[in-house]
Amino acid sequence: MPASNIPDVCIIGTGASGGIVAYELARRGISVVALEAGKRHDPATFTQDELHGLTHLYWSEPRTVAGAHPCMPFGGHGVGGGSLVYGGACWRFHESDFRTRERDGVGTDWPLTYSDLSPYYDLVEKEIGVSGYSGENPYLPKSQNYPMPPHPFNFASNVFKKGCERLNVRLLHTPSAINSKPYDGRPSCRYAAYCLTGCDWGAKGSTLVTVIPKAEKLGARIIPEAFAFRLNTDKSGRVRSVSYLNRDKQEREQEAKTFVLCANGVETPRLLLLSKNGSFPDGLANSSGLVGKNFMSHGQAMVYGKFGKEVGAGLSYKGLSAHSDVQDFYETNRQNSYARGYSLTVMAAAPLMFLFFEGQNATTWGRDLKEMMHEYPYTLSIWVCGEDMAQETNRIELDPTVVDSNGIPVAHIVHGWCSNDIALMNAGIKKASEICDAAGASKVTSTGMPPGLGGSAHLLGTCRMGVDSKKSVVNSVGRCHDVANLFIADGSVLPTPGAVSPTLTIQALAAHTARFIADDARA
Amino acid sequence: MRESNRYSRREFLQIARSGVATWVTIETLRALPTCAMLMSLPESSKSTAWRAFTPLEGLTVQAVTTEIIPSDRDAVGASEIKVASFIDTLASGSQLLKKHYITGIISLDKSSVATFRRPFLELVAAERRDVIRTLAEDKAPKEAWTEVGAKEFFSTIRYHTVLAYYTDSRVFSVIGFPGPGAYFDDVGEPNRVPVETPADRTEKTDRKGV
Repeated sequence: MPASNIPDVCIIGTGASGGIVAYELARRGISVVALEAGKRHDPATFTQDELHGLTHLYWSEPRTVAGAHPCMPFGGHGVGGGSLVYGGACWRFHESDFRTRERDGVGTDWPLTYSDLSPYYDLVEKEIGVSGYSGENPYLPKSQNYPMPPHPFNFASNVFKKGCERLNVRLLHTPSAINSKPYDGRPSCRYAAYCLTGCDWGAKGSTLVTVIPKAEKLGARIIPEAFAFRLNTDKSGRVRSVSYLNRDKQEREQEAKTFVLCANGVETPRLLLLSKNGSFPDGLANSSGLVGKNFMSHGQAMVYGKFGKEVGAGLSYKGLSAHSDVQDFYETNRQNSYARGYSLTVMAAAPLMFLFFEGQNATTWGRDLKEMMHEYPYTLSIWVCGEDMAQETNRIELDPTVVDSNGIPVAHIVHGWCSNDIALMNAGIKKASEICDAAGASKVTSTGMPPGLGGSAHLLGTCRMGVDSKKSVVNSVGRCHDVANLFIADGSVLPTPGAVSPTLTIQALAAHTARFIADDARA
Repeated sequence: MRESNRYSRREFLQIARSGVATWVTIETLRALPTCAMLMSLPESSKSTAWRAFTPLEGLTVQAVTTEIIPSDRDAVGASEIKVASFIDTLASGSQLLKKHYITGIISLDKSSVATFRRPFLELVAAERRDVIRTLAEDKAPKEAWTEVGAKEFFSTIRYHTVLAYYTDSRVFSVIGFPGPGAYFDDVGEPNRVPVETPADRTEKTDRKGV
């Protein structure tokens, strides 16, 4: 390829972070090509049909799992990636999340601070359209101005709020990439709780309907059904090209001056490990040995408050997938037996997702199952999300025997909770149960912990950022310590996971990385 | 993404050959049919003709799914939704899934014989539930479940039953879910017009003393 035709940047993955990187670079005049393993879905084909959504929009290749508490990763697939199927929750991390070692003696400090990331949070909230209650969250160092007002509390939140008030707990409006009013050419939400099947109405700000079309108008080229399986290096140790399989399973090669991995915390380390060669015998960018290590997925469990019919129908299905939340127990409390904390989120979901929240280990059947689902309209669902500790033993490897549909080794995920994870989650389950009781629930149940949900779409920490190249894979702007023209801008770079959905933080980091790449290119 | 039925079969065989942990295998079985194989399911996937199973095997699957989601006061259970035919269609798209089911059915009969001295289909409903309970609680006779785990088999058939049943529009009124097309401009309030379920109607009838 003539040098003049080689794009400045090749992005691998066009999900929540890849879309942001593409747009941030394109609007700064950087030429971009982006490879996406999945299809390009037409948003007009999204339906309120959970079976259709589950079979078309989710990652479908096998992965293998092991460990004391196996964790099955899942997530979106296609242009837009995980943002197609996420609930749209857009929490910022707390300032303490960036300094857990210094403050609490656990985890790892980030090589940047909340203040460093704050402008990029602002930027992304405008680009994807976030509704929220400006200044409501007392745990953020400064109030930000959301581009849209918050969604009103849904029925479930109003019921849960009664319990919160009785226990002096603060219930917050969940910031959400779902329109509370018409925004950027898209309509406001209709609260049908089908957020996880793509959003047929167009109110959810997936990157497919926000930044990616804008990036394309500015010249970015998206190549769907292009599965990247190897990064190729030159003699100087820089990445020269990426090999991928196109929709006809033919091998192709894409050159670029710079490469940005946005395939998230399982597929990014998998690609690096698949790219080992004579110069990088343990995998690309892996001199630290930490590629794939320190996998974090959040402790996750559900608590169900059952209410009588006199309360009214719709507790389970009216509203956003993530509608309101409690963050009063997020920070370390020296009186607890564990470090760090958890958040509680009021959920809404159509029936299948409601059942999936029971987790991978659900065993309810027969009349118990039918009774449970007869109570579905009167059931309050609370998601407990706890900060899990990074452990090198929790890791992504290449499976030695199992291959995907292309004959390429799949990711093998080894996972187990530590005692802090379990103690913290049990405290969260107990607190959510107490609030449900205080709200008047006639019965409260939970998935317990362990096992918790046994699966996660929060795939974090497997190429952590840091200052020391022996203790991290990338630096504070996402550049690999070992490979100068290779960046990572997805969940794998997070040193700690926070205790909320990480998507907005991942997107802010992606914008931060894109800004550096653009400035560097100009220099 | 993939035109993957062909590849899924190969994957399944590779997984089976690999000797990876049973839990791993079963999770893969549970994931793939939903995410890859179902992509090509025709609308008529809940037809009554058996594709992967013999009639006896099909009836056994139907008997298990009927207990997982029974027909009771609402008269809509897994049987009416033809969940077994749905599973049959899934199994027809994957040799390994088919093998998993057939092996599981054989083990189920062994379990049944070990406990009640009769195959599963010859049991009365209460006895069938006793057998299924041992699978769910992983307390089935180990000698009957040498090739596939009892709990893994239960997890697979439960997962597929739930998948087929609770995405069927006929079920929405059973559980009081308004279904697609219901939008709420009063999101903070209870649903103004809750869906009347068969159970509600039964209660009304009972109250009237009819």
